[in-house]
Amino acid sequence: MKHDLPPGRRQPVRLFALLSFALLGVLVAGLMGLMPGDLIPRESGARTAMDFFQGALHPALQHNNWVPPNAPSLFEAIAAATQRTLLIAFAALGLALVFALPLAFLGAECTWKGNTSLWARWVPKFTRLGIALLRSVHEYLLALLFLAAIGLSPGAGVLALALPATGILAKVFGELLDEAQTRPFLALENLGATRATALLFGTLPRALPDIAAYTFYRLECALRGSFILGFFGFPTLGLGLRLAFEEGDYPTVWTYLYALIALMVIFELSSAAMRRRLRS
Amino acid sequence: MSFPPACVLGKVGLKIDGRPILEAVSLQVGPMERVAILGPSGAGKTTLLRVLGASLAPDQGAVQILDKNPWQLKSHHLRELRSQIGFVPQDHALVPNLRVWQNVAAGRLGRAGGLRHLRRMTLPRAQELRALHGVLEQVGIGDLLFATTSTLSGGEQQRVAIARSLYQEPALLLADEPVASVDPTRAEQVMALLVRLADENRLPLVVSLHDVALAQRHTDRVIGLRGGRVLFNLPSKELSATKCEELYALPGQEETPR
Amino acid sequence: MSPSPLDKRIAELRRTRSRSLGLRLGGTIFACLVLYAWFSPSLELHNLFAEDRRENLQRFFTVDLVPISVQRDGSGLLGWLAWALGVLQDRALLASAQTLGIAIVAIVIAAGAAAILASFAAREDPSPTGTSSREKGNFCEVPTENSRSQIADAGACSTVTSRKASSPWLGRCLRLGFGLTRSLPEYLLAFLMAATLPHTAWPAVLALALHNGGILGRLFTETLENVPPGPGRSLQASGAGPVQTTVMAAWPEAFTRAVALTFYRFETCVRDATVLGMVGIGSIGYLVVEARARQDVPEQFLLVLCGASIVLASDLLSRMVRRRLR
Repeated sequence: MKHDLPPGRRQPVRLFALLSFALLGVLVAGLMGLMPGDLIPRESGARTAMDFFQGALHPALQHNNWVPPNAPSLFEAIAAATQRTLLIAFAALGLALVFALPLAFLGAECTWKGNTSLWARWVPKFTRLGIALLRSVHEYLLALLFLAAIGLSPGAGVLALALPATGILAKVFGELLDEAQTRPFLALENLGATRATALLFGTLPRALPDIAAYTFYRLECALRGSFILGFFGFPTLGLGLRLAFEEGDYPTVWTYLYALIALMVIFELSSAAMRRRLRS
Repeated sequence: MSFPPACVLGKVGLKIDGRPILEAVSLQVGPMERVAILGPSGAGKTTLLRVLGASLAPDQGAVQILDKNPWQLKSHHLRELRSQIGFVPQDHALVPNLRVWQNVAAGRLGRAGGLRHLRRMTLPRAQELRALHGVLEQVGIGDLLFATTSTLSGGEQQRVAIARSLYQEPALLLADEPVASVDPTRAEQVMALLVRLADENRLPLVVSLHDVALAQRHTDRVIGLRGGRVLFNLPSKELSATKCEELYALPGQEETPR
Repeated sequence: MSPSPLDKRIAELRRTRSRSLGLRLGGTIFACLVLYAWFSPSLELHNLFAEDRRENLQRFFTVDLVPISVQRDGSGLLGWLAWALGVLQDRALLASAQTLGIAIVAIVIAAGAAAILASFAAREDPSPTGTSSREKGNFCEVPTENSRSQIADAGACSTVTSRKASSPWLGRCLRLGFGLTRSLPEYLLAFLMAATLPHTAWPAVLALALHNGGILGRLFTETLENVPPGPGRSLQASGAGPVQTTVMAAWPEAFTRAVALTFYRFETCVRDATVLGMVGIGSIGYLVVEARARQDVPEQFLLVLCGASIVLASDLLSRMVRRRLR
């Protein structure tokens, strides 16, 4: 497909595509009233920004505003929030993983290939539709819905993070299974294994390192999501950040930001190390 | 006491995408007989082996394997039949990131087991490990029991594939091009190993090969396959040079008198 | 009964097998934390469906979800429909269009910036084997359907790559920058920017563009690095500079894949754009927050469905384009 046209003839098509792409951006921006002039911060905004970035230099080490006398110190509060942030992310991803693997098998092509029954025609289609539906609602929108439906509890946050994660994991796992070598699968079928057994011991083990690596990547995403859940009132790191921001207490905001950055760095390093090992 | 033949094919024909691969192939493999299928590339050797392995259904003709017609069996009986046929594929078809013992233990996944397979493949009992070690010793790599399969050399991986077939406790052993990519000395070793294993386990053995001399040294009977047809089916000792010439002649040279 | 020599030998083999401690440790920690999160009292997950929660749920589905207008005149399905159409016409359709607009402007900026920066960041001979992102273990939401071809491409250029990076330091900084911008949550970026910029959709657009620009920048860089070096060499021989070589020789080859990647990210962009409005910008998310303030649960629900349908539509579009490109 790449080489069906001589380079000389492909060039104008590309140029046209690029120009229309850029034009589309400008046009939409114009329609939405997005003017480059609005990129300059307001006067009050500029002041806010100054204050905000000055906070980066001296993050708060203790509560800057009044707290009840026996309240935990800022660090204790951050440590507790960090723990909840982590636990919500892990609980959500664990739940997602449990449901994603079976869904991935049901939706994968390799599960049904060569099977001509009615099941084989419709089950994967419906599974894929379900996976797309799970993915389509953003986790923060779900969080707001669950707040209304269940009430403010960490469980609602866990569910909100877990549902879209299930969809995304199932989709990618299915693709990974389809990509895995089929020879061991066929060999197992030839020595009399049932299709399910052959998939479980012929196809899955080959895809497992990739599946684990992707799960670790998704864990990072769940952690970011868990942090943001705090903005909607869930007791994670984002809650403290938002409250401090609304009070204009930028040093405390930065303390929370540094906690987030440290968490993300530790996480990304360890998850990168894990993924490297999974490859070798 | 006489045993029935292990495989009987009667006028088997098979087309893939409308192209005939096998045409009117008839042959018989006796109990404990060692048969080599010879022929140039594209002659249909692998396809014929897959028909013998009950993994490919022919379009025409009769198939009788281990006294059963695989394509008239219900699916669970077909699986049972397949679990009695050890097939060593040319590319070994191992899972590279599993341990050697797991790849060998996969040989018994054809038996009824359901959830017990999960335990067998993850937490083997001491007695199972002894059996696994045993078959690996038979092929000469017992010490690699716990190695990761992908770290093994090609020859070792082939032995793992053979061990997997043996662990099935088969009634028939098939090997597709077992010496396709090894040097002559190794080829001799591999053939000797296969023949020894067939002898020790009292199995009929069918091997597809390119090398005529190797086949004559190690097998009882040779079947020449060309263009999907059986050209000759003789005891190894009776194979003449003329027949070989005919088998491997390039297209258009068939009629050339010698 | 004492173990036989054979059993001892097997135990010895098992003990001395190679294994990765790091992997085991990581896996164990992961499993422990998941179990701890579910079964320790700290998150109170065990009473997720306790009595009062169940009452909440029941009330939610039977009372809360029914619009007030329908509740008042009890006008059944038709009333629902009229109400939904009213909300759609009034604001939801506009907000959906705005959401799409945010995503489109953001992806145009992100792809444009990423394409320019990646031309500078692409390295000479990235690694001895020319690995693709999947092989390095970085997923970054790369569509796996493309990875096969990428791995194949990588194999094709495994020995020599003749492109030279413009300057090693610039390239390194750019690649570090790509990593940094994608690791911060875009919602947080939008939140911070909304506090300083005038009241337009720019904060959402910029936050999305920054985050996706980082991701696309890295993906583009990898794509460029994996292009076979053939045409580039002849260009270089005739005196072209490194960046010139990338633009003239590598980009034409990488173009198709870059478009596929852009469309892949576009789908995610739309998904993220639905919520970015929550920081106070007109998109679906803004209306959801507003409806929440009015405690109008049915409208929230309808808006969430609206968001889901535009995400599904863009998913379909992106899938179609990528299938045609393949």
